[in-house]
Amino acid sequence: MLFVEHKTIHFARAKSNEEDHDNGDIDPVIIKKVSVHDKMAEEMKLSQIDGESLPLGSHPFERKQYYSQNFSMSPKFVTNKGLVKIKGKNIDFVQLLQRN
Amino acid sequence: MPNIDPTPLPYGPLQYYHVHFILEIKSNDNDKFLARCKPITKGYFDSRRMIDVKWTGEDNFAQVLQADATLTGMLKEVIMKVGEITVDPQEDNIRIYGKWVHEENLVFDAAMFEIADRIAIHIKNMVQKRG
Repeated sequence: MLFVEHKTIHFARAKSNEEDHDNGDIDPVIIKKVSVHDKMAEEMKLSQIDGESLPLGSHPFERKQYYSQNFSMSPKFVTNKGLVKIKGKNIDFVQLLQRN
Repeated sequence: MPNIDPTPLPYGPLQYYHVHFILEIKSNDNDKFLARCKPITKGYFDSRRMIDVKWTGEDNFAQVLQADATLTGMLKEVIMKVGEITVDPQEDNIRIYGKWVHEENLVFDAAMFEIADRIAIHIKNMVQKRG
């Protein structure tokens, strides 16, 4: 996922000649690449939940089955998008999966 | 501007995500914590209203969840949005999840987290009683 951030920078202009005026009003567009689980961890912090995003593939849960297949319509092919470790709650992790 | 492929391939990851709330617990009875919650609704289209929630699954566990009035109250607020809630046991963890969410709507749902947390309390209590 890509998140585009528009950042306006105001340049202090000592000289007000025409050349400076042309270069000074450019609004640079900064593109931040944020993984989905990092974004989720940030949103959790806003809700007063202590969540820390783990590096992709660092936990054994990410290398096991994600569904028990006891329910019908359980997907077979999914992509792991990351794990967020939760502290101070009964839930231990939040995992994000993408459908294939 | 990002380069958008005018002829995207018909396979590969889709724009749908699943958020799993995982409880790390290892017991001999993990497979007993199997349940799914669905809303009981009345009416159609605009007049469709949720009147209750119904837990189905392993008898004892489903009964415990159905008997929790606080949990039912919390579910009534979000179940129409979440669709259904599934408790899916694995060997060393139990996963709680709702339905697939489109990329555009993927945000952290605090209400869903509270529901998963409450279900996790019930699971931990039942494991302690059995152990």
